Amino acid sequence: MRRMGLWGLLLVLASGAQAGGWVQDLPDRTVIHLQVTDLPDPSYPEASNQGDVAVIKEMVRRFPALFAERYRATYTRNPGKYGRHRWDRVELDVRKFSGIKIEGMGGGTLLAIAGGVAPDVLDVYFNSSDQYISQGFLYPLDKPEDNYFTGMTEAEKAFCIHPKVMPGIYRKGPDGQKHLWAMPRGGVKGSIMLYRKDLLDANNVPYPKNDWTWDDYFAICKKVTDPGKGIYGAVFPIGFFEGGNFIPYLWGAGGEMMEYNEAKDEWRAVYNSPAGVQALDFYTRICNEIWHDKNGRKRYGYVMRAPADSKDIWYKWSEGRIAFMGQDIDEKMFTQINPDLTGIVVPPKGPGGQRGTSLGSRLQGIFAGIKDPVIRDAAWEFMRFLDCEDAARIRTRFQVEGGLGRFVNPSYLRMFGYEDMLRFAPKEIEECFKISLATGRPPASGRNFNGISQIMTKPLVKAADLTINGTMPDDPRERTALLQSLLDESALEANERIVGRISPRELLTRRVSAGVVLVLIGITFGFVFRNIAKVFAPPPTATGVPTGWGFRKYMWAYVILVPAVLTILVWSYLPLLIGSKMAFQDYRIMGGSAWVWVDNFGAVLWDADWWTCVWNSMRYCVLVVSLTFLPPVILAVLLQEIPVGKILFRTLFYLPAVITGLVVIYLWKSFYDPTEYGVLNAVVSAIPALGYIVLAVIFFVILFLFAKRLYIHQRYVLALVCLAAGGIVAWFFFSFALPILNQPGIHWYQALLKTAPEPSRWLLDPKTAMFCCVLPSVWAGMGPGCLLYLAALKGIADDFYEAADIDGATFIDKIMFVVIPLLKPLLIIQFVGVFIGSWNSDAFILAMTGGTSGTTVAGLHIFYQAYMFLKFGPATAMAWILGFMLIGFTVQQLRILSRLEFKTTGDKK
Amino acid sequence: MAEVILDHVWKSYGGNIWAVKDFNLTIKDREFMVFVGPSGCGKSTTLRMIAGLEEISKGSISIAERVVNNVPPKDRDIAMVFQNYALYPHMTVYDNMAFGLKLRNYKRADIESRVREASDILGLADYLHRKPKALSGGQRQRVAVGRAIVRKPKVFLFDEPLSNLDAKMRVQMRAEISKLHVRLEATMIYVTHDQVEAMTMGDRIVVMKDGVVLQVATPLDLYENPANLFVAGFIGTPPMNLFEGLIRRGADGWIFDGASMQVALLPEMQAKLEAYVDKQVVMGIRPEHVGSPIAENTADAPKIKAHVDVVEPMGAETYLYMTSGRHNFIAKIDPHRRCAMGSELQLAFLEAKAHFFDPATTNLIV
Repeated sequence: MRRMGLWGLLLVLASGAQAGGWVQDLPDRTVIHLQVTDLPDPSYPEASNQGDVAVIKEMVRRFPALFAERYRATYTRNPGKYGRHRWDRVELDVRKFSGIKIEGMGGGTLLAIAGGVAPDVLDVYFNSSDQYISQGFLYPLDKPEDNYFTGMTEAEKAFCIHPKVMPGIYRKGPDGQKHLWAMPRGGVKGSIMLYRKDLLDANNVPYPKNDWTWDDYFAICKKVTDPGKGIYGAVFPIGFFEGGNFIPYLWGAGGEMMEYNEAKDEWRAVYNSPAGVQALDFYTRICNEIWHDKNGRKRYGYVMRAPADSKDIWYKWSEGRIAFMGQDIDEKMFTQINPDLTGIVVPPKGPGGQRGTSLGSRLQGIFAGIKDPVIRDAAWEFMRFLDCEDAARIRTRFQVEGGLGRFVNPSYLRMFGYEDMLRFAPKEIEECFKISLATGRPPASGRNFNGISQIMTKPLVKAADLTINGTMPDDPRERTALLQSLLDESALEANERIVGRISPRELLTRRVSAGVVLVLIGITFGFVFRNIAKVFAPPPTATGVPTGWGFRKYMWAYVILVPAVLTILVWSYLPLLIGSKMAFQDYRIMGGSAWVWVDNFGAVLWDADWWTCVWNSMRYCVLVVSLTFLPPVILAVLLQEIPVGKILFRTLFYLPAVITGLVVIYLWKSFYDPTEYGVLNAVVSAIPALGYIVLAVIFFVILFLFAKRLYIHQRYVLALVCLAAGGIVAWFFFSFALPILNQPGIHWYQALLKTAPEPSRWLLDPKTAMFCCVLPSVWAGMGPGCLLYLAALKGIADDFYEAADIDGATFIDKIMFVVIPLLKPLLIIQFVGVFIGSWNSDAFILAMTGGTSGTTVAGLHIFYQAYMFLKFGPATAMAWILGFMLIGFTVQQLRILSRLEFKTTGDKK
Repeated sequence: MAEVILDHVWKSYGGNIWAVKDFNLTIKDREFMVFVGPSGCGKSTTLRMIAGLEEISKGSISIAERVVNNVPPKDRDIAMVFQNYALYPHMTVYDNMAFGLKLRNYKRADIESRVREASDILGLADYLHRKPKALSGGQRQRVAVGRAIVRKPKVFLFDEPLSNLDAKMRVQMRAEISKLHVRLEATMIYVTHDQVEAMTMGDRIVVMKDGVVLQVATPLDLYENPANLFVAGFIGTPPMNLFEGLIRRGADGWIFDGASMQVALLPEMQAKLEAYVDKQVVMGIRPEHVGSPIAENTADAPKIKAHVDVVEPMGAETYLYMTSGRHNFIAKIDPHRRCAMGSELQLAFLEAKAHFFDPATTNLIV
């Protein structure tokens, strides 16, 4: 029952995808409702946004005339195709898509398509366009019968589509033919770098010129970075798709990510070239190089590392605490920068003499799932207008009138008659943009490219970890060899992923093992259902004759049961069954899924990533069970014992529970700030080494005492477990003291009163990340759990404690031999809950780390596979395998629960 | 010597409300002492103070010549049997009995022999591997007792141990505990609200009410010479008959004038009642002294005519619930004497056995 959320969505999938637009008949007119991914918000007064709003308004205003000119005749002639509506008065209504969106995933549209609520006009980003095309989400815009693209004038085409964008949108589709798939929305974007003049001035650094190099960039970052004050040279975002940020450096070093073999029609990853190594070396050094600041604190790198969506980045930038910020500027409207504070420069040249400039463009396409040609035509007209010359004119006017004229591309100012604005336009912006556009290239895109940036992230993370651990060799040759091996490993994986080809021999092995696993799964589930049916079957009577279900006798009971049973069947088991089909298919949302039978299972079984995620899940489960299950018990016992202020303490411990889950996550994310400004770092670094040693000793002694009492009572195994737990807890605290004691240059005894030399990286460090993910739920779950146990403790008659007192029991004895055995039923129920919950933590991890730093649990992996990469087949196979692995636990839990006698804990009988 | 001495012991749960007031008592070694009284009289509180489960507010308690005010329960060399048995439900009978010994680091063999011995005494040998849930009430009670005796403490404390048992079981267990007392030769303190248990088991009985000790005496002494109206009414089944009336100096000597009934007083009582002439007193006389064969056979015994409300034949005797004017009383008569409900009957009063109480102080006059 743990994958219900997923299954529920899969049901929606199974029902077939459809789009959101519709034609409404009103008495006096026909309204065509169109749904688009995004619309500018009219309440936001910023000038360029108001320009966008005005463009939409103008579009809606012009639509009736436009319709009359281009479509009315056709529609009226062919009611069979276009429907019988009043085509003499037609209006357009444009609405913003209101479906599910996940922040930071960029996959909102994918989710919408998967969920069958896709908008009619899809926003497509350059780098994800291939997925849209290959999955058949986009409707080709150059079909002669539609006369969409073919109906445009050459001047119109030239204005809308920058030649550099063309290869990205005019590509081979699923049918093997080249088509035009999308139209640019807004201009082409070139990458440039902004710098804070004030920060460079303060460090006496001359402003970079357009011919600067990586070395200059590195030197400036090194000079200005002062983590003690929260000042950094630049921002290098982290996360799953960090690999994407590496590509410009790869280019800068003269490398390339992918190579296309025309003959084989095959892409190959080539980033493990010498240039790739050079790029990785630079990337790793600027991010993670170890140095010591003037206070002797150990620091890593010269750039800020944070998730790309972190609000902190923009805060720091606006505060002038980040020297460089990369930005994509739009052809039409450059950017809103304050030239007094901010300078602009092109990205530095790398050792390959190249600049890591990328080109991008926001695109729009028509959703292929639109059935009604009326809606499709409206969608096309909408897209076409949004980027035409008239629209550009409106935008330019708004920007000029709104005081942003100097940031508009001067060629547009000239084109639309604002020559007088030209003298205000900062020259360097135009110059930068020209260089950027001239040197920039669009990101590679090809079949199976999704997930490649994730694979490219791996060598970056590994190199970072090696550097931070101090195991990265200093010798250039060794270093190169090591980095080369990391890149080779990653490229190999990438190639496997792209080509997806495996030897026939291996394929056979995979298929056989998949078959075996499937049979096992089948047998197990059959066995489980038989078992469950047995448990719930009516007990036989004394005569041995079964009593039957008693439908007549208990008619009303069954009637009352019906809604609940139906709900579960329809919303849980039915989708589960229907969705299971996908496990055996190369599932495609738009239909036409091919049957691949056991191949999905084979692929999953041999997928190292998947097993890593399973291992992560197990780690998470162990941590959750050991950290969220026992502390409330201990706390409750302690609270029960304290003589005064019980209510106060209870309230204090319960308070965190009133905060919503998501707030808890964001609260803790801010606690985990990896600098010394983070709350947790501030607390942790305020405690000297001695404090941690004392804590370690205290906890060890407590658990040792428990172990000792258990030993006396001949519970040897439990005693050992207790002792081991004591060791682990002690080690946990001691590990905080270790880096303090291990500082070079001073003896350990001199360091006893010193505090941590460097802030902990918490969520960024794979060693601590998982623990940090669990901690918030411990914090938030302590109060409610504790309350439950307190209630149960209240139910234990005082007699038991008193009898134990007289018997000579110590506090520890009472907990172990009186309290815990009497709480056993509740403990088991809670354990089952915590255990199951720990396998259902996908959302929590998603919000906490997004699965970075080795925290991708199995469920989250399935989620990503399904909704980010649209690999529904393998994802479903994974879900079944996960279910299979957990079914053993579930059966055991069911057995325990069915044996349990539910009664008040204080029952005297 | 396991003498338990309570020296001016007071108990308060905060504020000026005293649950136990000035409790003074010396419980002799090997004595079976029973605390009896109605609910809330402070008897259990006193026992729990002896056990160390309650703090002593004022005064001191010593066990075996050692003041134990600040000694934790486990070091007082006591064992306690609880009303609800307090058997650990997750442990077998054996483990329940052995638990206290294990906690005190007894050797395994020692534990084994002690538990065997106790289970033999209590007839639990066949149930050692059962959980308490699988035992009857009486067996559970035995296990609770067994848990106490394995440790061989100097003082046993029983807190209403039989009140959860049915009547028949209670009679049986009562005798067994008494036998155990003889066998173990230990000091026992037994709290009960049942005066029959108190009478049948105790060497001495402490009668308490509202936290005050009303009387400490042997069972017979308590029965025959109740110190006040409460003790008189509390001890004995059926309870003592109480009549309100005036003392009058009549022509043929002194009489107790209870309106509808007049009883002449014996000369030896007159001196003590001197001060109460023409004043209200309460006369108490036990049912067996009204209409019983001894009373009927005593010459000069005053006769009272009364209405028979209810007849309760008990076999060995018959109880009559009678009404005479405003007085209600009970008589224990010879079962062979015939009388019908609703009839009028003349009954003899064994006035020599009558007690007189001061209604204001409730204390005994004579």
